[in-house]
Amino acid sequence: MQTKEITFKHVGQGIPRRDGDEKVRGLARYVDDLNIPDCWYGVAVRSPVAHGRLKTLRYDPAFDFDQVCVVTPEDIPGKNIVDMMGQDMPFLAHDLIRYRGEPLALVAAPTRQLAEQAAAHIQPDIDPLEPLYTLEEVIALHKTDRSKLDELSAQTIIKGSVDEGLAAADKVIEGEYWAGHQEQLYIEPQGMVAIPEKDGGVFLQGSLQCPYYIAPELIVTLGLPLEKIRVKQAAVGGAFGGKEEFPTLVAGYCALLAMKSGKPVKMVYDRCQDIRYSTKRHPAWMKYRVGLKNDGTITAIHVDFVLDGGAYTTLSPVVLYRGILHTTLGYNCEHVFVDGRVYRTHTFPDGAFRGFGAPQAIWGLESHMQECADALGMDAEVFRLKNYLRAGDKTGTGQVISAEMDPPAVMLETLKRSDFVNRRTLNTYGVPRDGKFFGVGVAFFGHGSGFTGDGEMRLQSKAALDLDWLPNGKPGVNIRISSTEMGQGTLTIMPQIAADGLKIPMACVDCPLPDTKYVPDSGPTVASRTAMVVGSTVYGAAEKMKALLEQYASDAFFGGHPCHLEDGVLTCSAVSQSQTFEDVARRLLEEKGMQRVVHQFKLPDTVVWDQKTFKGDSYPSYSWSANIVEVEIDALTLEIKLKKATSVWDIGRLMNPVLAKGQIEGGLTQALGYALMEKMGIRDGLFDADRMQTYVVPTSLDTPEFDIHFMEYPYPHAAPGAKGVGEIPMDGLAPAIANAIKAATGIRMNRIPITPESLWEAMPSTRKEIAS
Amino acid sequence: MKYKEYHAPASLSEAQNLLRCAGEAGIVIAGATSHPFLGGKDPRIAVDLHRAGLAGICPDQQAFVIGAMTTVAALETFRARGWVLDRVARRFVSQQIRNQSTLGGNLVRVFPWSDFPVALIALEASFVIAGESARSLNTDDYFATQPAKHFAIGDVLKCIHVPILREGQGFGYQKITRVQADFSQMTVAVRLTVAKHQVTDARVVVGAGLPMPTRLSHIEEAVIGKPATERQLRSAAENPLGEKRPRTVAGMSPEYVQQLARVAVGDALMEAAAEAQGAAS
Repeated sequence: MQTKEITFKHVGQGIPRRDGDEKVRGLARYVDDLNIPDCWYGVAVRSPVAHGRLKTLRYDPAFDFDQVCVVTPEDIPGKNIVDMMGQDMPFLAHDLIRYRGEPLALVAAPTRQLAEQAAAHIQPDIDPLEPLYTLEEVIALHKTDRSKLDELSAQTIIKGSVDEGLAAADKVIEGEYWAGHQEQLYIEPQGMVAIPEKDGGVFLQGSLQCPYYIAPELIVTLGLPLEKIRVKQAAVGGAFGGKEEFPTLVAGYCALLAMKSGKPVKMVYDRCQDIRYSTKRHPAWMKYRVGLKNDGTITAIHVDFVLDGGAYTTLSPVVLYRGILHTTLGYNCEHVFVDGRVYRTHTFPDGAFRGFGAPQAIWGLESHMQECADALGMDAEVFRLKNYLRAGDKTGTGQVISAEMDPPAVMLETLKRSDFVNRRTLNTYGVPRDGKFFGVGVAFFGHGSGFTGDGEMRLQSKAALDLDWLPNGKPGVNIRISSTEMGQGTLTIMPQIAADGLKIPMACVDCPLPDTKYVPDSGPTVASRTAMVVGSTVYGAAEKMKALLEQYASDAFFGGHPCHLEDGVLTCSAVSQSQTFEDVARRLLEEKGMQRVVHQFKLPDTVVWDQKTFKGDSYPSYSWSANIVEVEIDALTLEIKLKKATSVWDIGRLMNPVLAKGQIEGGLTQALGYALMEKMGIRDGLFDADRMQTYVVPTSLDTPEFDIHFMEYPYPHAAPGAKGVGEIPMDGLAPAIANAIKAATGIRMNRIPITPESLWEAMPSTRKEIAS
Repeated sequence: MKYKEYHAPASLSEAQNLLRCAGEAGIVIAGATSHPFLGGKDPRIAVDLHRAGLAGICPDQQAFVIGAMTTVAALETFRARGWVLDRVARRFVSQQIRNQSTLGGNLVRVFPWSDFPVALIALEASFVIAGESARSLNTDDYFATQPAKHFAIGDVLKCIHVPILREGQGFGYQKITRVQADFSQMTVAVRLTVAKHQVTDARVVVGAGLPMPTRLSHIEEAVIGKPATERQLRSAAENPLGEKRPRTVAGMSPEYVQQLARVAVGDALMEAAAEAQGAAS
């Protein structure tokens, strides 16, 4: 489906978000707002140790367990596994315990208080084993004795001969880069309710991103067929990947308790539980070795990329794949070797988080590319523009950059808008001016849109449109997709797209929250794919529905003469008559009832991908951006202030510029926290910053001046032509800030978050000067 | 923490009666912003003081009399000669919290990062507690221990007397946070009295960098009787925490906390001296 020659009326408009009003007025119904009669509350009995062998669970004989429902591994109807990648995680640990807080049993009771009391009266008896907690410990072993590590996943990317490329270099620049855990910190914590159905099935409703992840993943555990596991999204108060795979666990806990007790069971985490016992961004370590000619040509890129996966595999292999695909993205190099690995630690399993490995990779890549430019004495933009991919060049996997992309264009525009070349003359390079250090830094990057490789081909994403009666009593079109609204604008842009495909007013289109009883599998709401892939699928379905309406109107109103639907009116030029969409739809519904059309997404046949060798077209398309930032650092306290962030974005055709800008401002703010503030350590196996008092995130009061500009290069194979916007804002700010800090202080900070106290430790000479 | 009962008395005496009846289960709602930090699993009986007539700022000849239920937002917007608490209020978390949080609530249960105790110790405030009979405590007595210990069941902090800054006096206030809405990493408040460019009196208080708000008497001694010059004041701030053990959070080294204190104390001294001398001239 080519995007050429299509004109859009609603797409591209900054239409206010449709769910805004009910959310602002407190009318949206989140899972904790659902008033379910006779609902019980569920809690988990958790392991007090991070690594050990469970001998037994001791039940306090003084407690009356008859008033509660307890689920242990023996009560699980199917297999005691979470059916994710690796299949190494039990729903309830029964032998080996791999992280502190791992559920050992579940308890439900008529009140939360009683459930918590009962859980406290179940004591595990555990033989402790030696735990491995941190990425620092992992990397020490990775460098010395890998046999002591438990590898969860590994993948390489090989292009040319990296040894040959390094041998041809005039210089080889090495550097190591570290990134810590990051918490999603959505406003609404994890929550789910399970209601047993009369037919033996279970109905699950909650805070989630991917309804069609939960249902299939619970089949094995619950021992139910897919059709008996119904999943419906409640209003979601933010997700950022944290509600991608993790809700399967909460859903499973609730379902197991509901199936045993026969009661509806709800679990809603409080903030502390949510931070302690839900997934985080994978901590990462990267080592770059880059071969350079003296003229700035990159001859080889060698990358070691290691993730701390936490206790179980979950989605770590995919995070690794997407991570390594971004470790060299954007740079033209004939000789590439990327060695990616995920190792197990005894901490809560890490999982999906906006960017999915790319923020870690681009943190390392763009920090190191600046080191390369500095080592050559080249200006940051000159070095990057010399080496950046252009149409016809090949990525590390051999994917040819297609003609409709122009990655350097965003760089050139960002340089211009930020006045980079003039502003960098103010860099202080370690000598403060008026009590401040000042620096300007740049990062230039791309992000894959959609699933990796041929993932979209295998997924066969579908969208349905139902011509039906809308809640306002009028005929209209319901969009039936499994894509969820979690704050990013799905409920607004999909009606924009459908209305344009149908050529009817947006008021005639509704997009209800997904319920697997009614929606086909459009794939998960992840991977910067919703606007591009599902949006295109909705557009295709809309065109089919338009054809259906035109055919019906032709037969029913115009004596078989063809007609054309435009601006909500069906016009037949042969008989010089017209009918409104509403009249035609009303007659059709009264005569034939609800009408459904379904469309399936299809990648162009030219996409070729080898999942084993990681060669070929790693993504259907790419979004591109450059971030240029100005930082100011207090020379005495080393407080770091991001003063300005200029950024230009190619995210394909803009569906809704207001929402897109909101996505980018939000993503940049989250990236600001990742770069400078969000620090998460491990203490006795638990995350040490387990409340908002100690896990510090930026608010709007801490954001700099954002100058955000778009350049539209539509994706030509999926009308309307969107590419990804959800994740890319998370990618480039951290290295841009680190590069600015280097320009300000002369110090390369290679670990995020970069805090004032870490700068203090890194600047002994400055400390001496301050002290004197 | 959960409430099992909620009361909104219309007077101070009614509030006191309710609290006495509630006994150990009673808890005052002033701004309630600290309640999420309070432990205890047993539900409490909440007595909300918002309707008890304890809000407002009233200047008399010597001091501002501030009702304990005055919100931080009200402190921020109040203006009068010799009034400085707007400077403290402005740096207090966020507008939403300033609207909710009360001065009294910040003074009855003091956390290491509490802002107003630091300022009020520097300003030599006094505190009126309504109990069986009203009693007043001076600053040093009030903050000699965790102030909550001064309150018997049924006692309520009624008002705070904050001396008006006189001619020749200056106030300095510095607060360092990681983000705007964060708890303080370092808070310093200073009141200096300067006559003929000599410091004649000083109160220097640090919070957040130490476990509880604390007067830095060695710095006060180092500046009293000395010229109010930058060199003198910065020199006095050179070893701000002395032998006291810094409170280190979020991976900050003791050395770094000392540095924050050095900068903040020096800046607060300079700010206070400038105001004092500006007023004198």
